[in-house]
Amino acid sequence: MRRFTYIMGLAMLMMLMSGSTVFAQGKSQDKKNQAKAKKEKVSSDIEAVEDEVEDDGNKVEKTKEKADGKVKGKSAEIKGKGEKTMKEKKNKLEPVDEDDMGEEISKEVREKSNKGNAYGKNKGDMSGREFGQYRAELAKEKLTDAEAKLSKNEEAVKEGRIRVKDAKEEVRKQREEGSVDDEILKQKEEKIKKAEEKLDELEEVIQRGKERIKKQSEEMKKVTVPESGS
Amino acid sequence: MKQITLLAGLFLLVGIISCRDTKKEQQEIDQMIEQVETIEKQIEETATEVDQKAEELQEALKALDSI
Repeated sequence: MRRFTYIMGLAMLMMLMSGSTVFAQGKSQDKKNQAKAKKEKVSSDIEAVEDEVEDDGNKVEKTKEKADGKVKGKSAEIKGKGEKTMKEKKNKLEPVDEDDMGEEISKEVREKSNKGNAYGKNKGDMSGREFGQYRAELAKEKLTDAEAKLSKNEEAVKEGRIRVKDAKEEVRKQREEGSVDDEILKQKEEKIKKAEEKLDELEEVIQRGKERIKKQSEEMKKVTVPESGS
Repeated sequence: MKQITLLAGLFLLVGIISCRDTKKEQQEIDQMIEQVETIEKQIEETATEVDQKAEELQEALKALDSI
């Protein structure tokens, strides 16, 4: 009887262990199949959304162009998934037209993903790795946007310098002609000085920002999504 | 009895190892996401700083229009 109990216990243990092992193996197979199915589904979804988007107005056309630019390779699929996930979440809260998706949702995803750590959050139908890749893509986009912003502001500084130069010239002429009161000229010079200070400040911030962005780009290159363990 | 214990121990070991792999992978992913978020935060700080200074500059330049 005691031996029988041991055998039964062993059988139970084996069943439990083999069950989890098979489940684990099956899970990875399932995940592969699910990933395939998801990819196909996402591709078909993207196509369907693109078709719908084509039919709508300028706003949607802009979104589509943006999406087309972004939808490249695997990262785009993951991104699409992320947006789809957020769309599903949003749909649960309130019914939204298909037209409203795209840029707005992408923005919302970004906003939401910027608040605190994301790894404890609901990642929808994305796996941890996919979510990691998606976040890395978003960060790269932010880096590109920040670089563009810095370049734009560099141009603003150049234009500002020209305006300050012109204003200085104008004040110099007015002083020579003696057509304007000294007190007013002083006020004008103060304004010019203030503008120059602001130009210097912005230039400094841009330089610092460029260095930071460069450093962050290098850091981003080092950040890699870990390979699958099995 | 010894064999049973050995077998049970072996199964347990296999189970623990397979669980640890997943946990390690998840930790790596979490770490990676944390890194990405840190970088994003720094980018945002830079962008905000630039925006603020640019706004201040625009105001200062606007004042030059009256000259």
